[in-house]
Amino acid sequence: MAKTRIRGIIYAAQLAILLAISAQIIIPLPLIPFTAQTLAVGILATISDIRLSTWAIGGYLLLGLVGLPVFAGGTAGLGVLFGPSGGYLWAFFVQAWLISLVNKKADKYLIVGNLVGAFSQLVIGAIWLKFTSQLGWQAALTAGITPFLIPAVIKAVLAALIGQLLLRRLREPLQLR
Amino acid sequence: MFSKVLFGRYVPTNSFIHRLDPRAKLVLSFYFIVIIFFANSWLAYAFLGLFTLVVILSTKVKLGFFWDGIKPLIWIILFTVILQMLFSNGGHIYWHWGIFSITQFGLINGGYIFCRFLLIICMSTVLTLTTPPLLIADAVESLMKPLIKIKVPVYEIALMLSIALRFVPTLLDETQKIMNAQRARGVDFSTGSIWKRIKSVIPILIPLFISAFNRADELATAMEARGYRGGEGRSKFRILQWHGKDTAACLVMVVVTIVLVGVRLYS
Repeated sequence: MAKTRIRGIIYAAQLAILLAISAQIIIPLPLIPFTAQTLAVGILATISDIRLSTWAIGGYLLLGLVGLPVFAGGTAGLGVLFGPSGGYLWAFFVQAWLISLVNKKADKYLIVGNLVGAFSQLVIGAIWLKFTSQLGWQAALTAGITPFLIPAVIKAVLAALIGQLLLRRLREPLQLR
Repeated sequence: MFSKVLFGRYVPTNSFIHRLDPRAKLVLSFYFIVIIFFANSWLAYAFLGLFTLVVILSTKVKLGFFWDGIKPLIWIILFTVILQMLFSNGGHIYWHWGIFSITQFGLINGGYIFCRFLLIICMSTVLTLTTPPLLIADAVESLMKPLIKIKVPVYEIALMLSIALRFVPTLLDETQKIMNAQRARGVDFSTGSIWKRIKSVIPILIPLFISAFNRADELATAMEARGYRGGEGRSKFRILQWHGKDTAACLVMVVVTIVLVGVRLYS
């Protein structure tokens, strides 16, 4: 669909805002609130090529960096990007790359790519948590991954489903030339 | 829920910090985050804390705004501190249960980490409270310019960022409309079984993506029709200027670094 480069850049900007908005859509659940954010990253990576998703995620992080409260819970700024939970944000890049890579190999099974991506996002976030907070591996991995595993699986499945629906409408994945 | 997102968190008071060049503020707050990791004693944290407090007071912004910036993050920080306290070993053991134990080193480390993240968040809040998002975006573009040499598409990144900043309000409006439309059809986002609540996200996200695509297409067609070609050689409406006070601010940070290194060497 994105025929020219400028079109791709505009798509990236719109997708960056969608990420920002989805981080504010919070379904209150017992214990851990369910945000649509990682779900939106999954959908984004499912429907666009690797370059466009990198741009869109970069745009989202820049929106937060310049001070719009677009990170989860209405937070913003360098302090979040380099705080204890900043790794989960940087890991969106890896999540999107892995989803794109796996989907390219097996585009019949969008769920597989989304599961791999979602899991790696949690692992990278937990590793970041370990180093910034000087925790032990056991503590960081237990606290940084386990509570989010079930929501992550649900979101990966949803992202694959929604991505499939959107892809059918788009006919081909969005691209940045 | 969305009104806060519209304007960033900028509070105009025209203080000394407000008038600094956004590039200076961005680089210095990033630098502060880096040097904080060199602090390893209570003395160092007390010094950095005092410095941060002076900066906060000199912005003339009401302290309540800072608290609003810190509040949503305080739980994450407390959570990591508690983890740190429960899982680290060494020194005198105060309490022990299974794999958990509260030790002397755990308490000290937990305290350090609490101070570190609190200071990081305070300083980054200073940046976002005293600088409008558009100016920080200009600063990002200006600071990234050297990267053009290694083929980073800096102008295009800046274009994407300004388009995103321009369309945040539009998409927020759209989201609100879609959610209201779903509510009018009887969708309830806060009650019902867990699965039902999670499923209620789908009819928000799909129309949101589709409308964003339509808007992107319209804008792209409009820009292509007018023959828009990248940012290179375009003139700017806001021009950033480096003044003496910006250099002074950098010198202050150099002094802070020297004191910090001194404290580290002598303790």
